[in-house]
Formats: sequence, C-alpha cells, structure tokens
Amino acid sequence: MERALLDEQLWILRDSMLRVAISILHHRQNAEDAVSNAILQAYRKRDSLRNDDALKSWLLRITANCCYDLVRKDKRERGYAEGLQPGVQMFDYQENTLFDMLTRLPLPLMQVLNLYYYENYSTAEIADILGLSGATVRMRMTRGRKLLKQMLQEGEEADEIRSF
Amino acid sequence: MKSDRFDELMRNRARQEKITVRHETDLLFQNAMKRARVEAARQPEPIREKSSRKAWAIVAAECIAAECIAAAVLLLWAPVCDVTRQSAVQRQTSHTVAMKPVTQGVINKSPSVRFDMVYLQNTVTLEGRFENLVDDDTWLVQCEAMLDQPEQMKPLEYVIMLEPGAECVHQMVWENVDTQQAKVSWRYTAYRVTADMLYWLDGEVLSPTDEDYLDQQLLMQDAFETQALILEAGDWSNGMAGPVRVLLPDQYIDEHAELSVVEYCVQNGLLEDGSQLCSGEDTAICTKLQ
Repeated sequence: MERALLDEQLWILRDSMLRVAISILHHRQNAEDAVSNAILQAYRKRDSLRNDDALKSWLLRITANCCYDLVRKDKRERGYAEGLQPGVQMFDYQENTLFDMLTRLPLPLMQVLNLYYYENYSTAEIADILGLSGATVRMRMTRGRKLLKQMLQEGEEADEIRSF
Repeated sequence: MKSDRFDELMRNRARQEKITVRHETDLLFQNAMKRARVEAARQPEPIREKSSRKAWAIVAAECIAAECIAAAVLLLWAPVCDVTRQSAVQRQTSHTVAMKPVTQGVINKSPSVRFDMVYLQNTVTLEGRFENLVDDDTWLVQCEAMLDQPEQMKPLEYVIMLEPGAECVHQMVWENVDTQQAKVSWRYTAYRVTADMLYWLDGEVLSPTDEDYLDQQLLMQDAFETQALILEAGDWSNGMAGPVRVLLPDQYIDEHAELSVVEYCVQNGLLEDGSQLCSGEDTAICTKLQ
C-alpha cells in the first residue's frame, strides 16, 4: 500500500481505531499507547495488505491486537483490574448519546456493539477483528442489546423503544 | 425481527451522533504518525529468510517456555498442596487439580479450575476459582460437591460460565456443621460452548402455575429448534463469568428424563465435552478453626 494513502486513511479512521482501543482498554493512556503502536505496526506491515478495500478491518484488527498485548502486559505487571480506569476522555460527546450509553456497558459488550453500530460490521467480521468466536460475539450482542434496551427504557426514550 | 429493528434504530443514532476526537489526542495521533513515517523510512524491506529464522526462534522459545512452565508446575504443585493441608491458616487446603495440561511443549487451550477449602467455626466453605484466560471460546464448568457423603454427589443446578478472558470465584457453603473435622468431595467437568446461537431468557424461569408460563415455553421451544443454547442470565458481579442455569423447554426435559440438561445439550451438539482438557475430582478433610 502507498504510504500517502495509508497516511490519509489513518487520519480518516483514527476515531474508529480509538473507539476500538477504548472499548477494549477503557483507559485513556493505554488506549493512546495502543493506537500509537497500531500506527507503527500498520506502517511496518503495510506491504502485507493485498486488498486496499480491507484496510479498515485490517487496521482495526491491528489495533485490537495491540490492545490485547497491552492487557497481557498490564496483567503481568499490575493485574488487569488495577489497570482499568473509568473515563473515555479522548472524545467529545454528549450525555445520553448511544456512545455515552455504550461506555457504561461492561467492556466486552461495548467492544462488539461499538463495531456493530458505529462501524457497521457483521458479527462474523467483528469476530475476525476481535479474534473471538462467532458464538461469543453473538452472545455479547444479545446481552449488550438487552442492557441497552434497559438503559433506554430507564431514560427518557421509552416511547421510542416501547415496541421492542 | 425485533432485534433487527432495534439495531437499525441504533445504527441510525450512531450515524447522527457527533463524536469528535479531542485536540490533545489528535496531537498524540499526529506525533505517532510522524514517528511511524520516520521509522518506516529507516526500516529496510523485510527479508523473507530472516523472518523465517525469527519465526523458528519464536517457536523454539515458546517450546522452551512451555517446558519451563511444565517443570515449574511439577515442582510447585505437590509442596503447596502438602504444606497448606498441614498448616493451620485460614485457607486450610489448596488444590490445584486442573493445572493447564502441557502436551508436547504446547499449553492446551482450556479453562483452569482451582479449589480451596476452609472450615471456620461451624461453616465449611469450598471456594472455586475459575479462569478462561487462554481460550477464545466460551466454556461452562459443571461442578458437584458434597459434605461427608461423596457417594451422594450430584451436579449443581447451575454451571459456571466463563467467557474468553473471564475469571470468577464461586463459593459453596455448608452451615451449622458440628463435627471436629469436615470432609468435602468435589468433581468438575468443563464443556465448550459450540452452539452458534445463545438465547438468554428474559426474566426468571416461570413455573406452570405462572401466568406467562406457556408463552415463555414457546419462546424457549423456538430457540431450541433453531439450535440455540438457552441460558438463564446470572446475577454476575463482573459481567462475563459466573453461575448460570442451562435450560430446556419443559417438554424436552419430560421426554428425556434419563439425561441431564447438560448431557442433552452435548448430545445435540450445543456443547462439547471438554473433560479431556479440564476435569478433575478430589476430597479434602479439614479440622475446624475457631
């Protein structure tokens, strides 16, 4: 892949990469580190990408792998629970938006719903990006939807979703 | 489909929302891109032979690491068990009965289970630690435990669900025990979830006398006929691991009374018997601590 095209696409897709990173790590500094590592990896491995159409999922998969590396490292050094911190301060977004609600879900559920609703991926594609089985993704989708519906019902949007 | 309509609504919302990356994060991002460009400019093109050598080096290193883990497991396992059995600390026994098995230098992908037992005042507690940190599939661990009468052991009504990367601690407690020593026996078997679909029951399981019982049974029947594994959502503190009941429509339970629900799910390909990778049993005797 051309370096200039990769530059352009990285800039366009930076928010998607950051959203994937924050959905896995939920830690601002770690997410920024993971995305920085993913950028380096993307440049290093750009010749291995044969099909430019697959660039987005390729970048997101690299991002997810960089996040998992950090989780493993973090777990070895400090224990995962200690490494987690609340806060998604990398983005400006309004309260009660879908994204705001996703940030309040358990992380594994947020991961799949973020890719499903914001990136429009299928469950099979999400499984590929996150390195999970299809069954796991579908199960998380089911549980995530359920929690999301509860949140919406508890909020002010009962009318909008009453039919579900 | 209700879920399809809901998803469409959520995707529409996602499209309309304005989420922007903060300026300071953008600066970090730009810096990372600059560093990557500089590094890429310095980096020579990869040479296939070198990569191959590196890959072999990694394989060799992994094999050595796996051998080291196996050796460490063998060295540590027995003394820990003996020492803790004899000591009079609160955690009286420590049984690591399902260390990740190591076969030909490769660590098998399976959950790990560990049990500790304590007999404090008149309460006997068996604590299980369940982890699924190395496998990408979801596992269910079926446990059974019995105080004093191991021959009467029968599986608990629920299983411990472990999603990838999840771990949990679950306790079985016997109260009002009035002997100087207590003997607890336990056994467990892990099952890999192979169903393509999981159906989480909305709300509690209803009994035949409840108002919406038939509707719930029909929903479960639909789910079962589409080869979904039916689960009652557990009340989990960490969200991704904990006790959960596997369910079947009552009609199937009545027709197959000779099989447990888990056995029935294994026969129908919804679960895969993982006893070769993760199963075990043990008995421990503890003296009462005041």
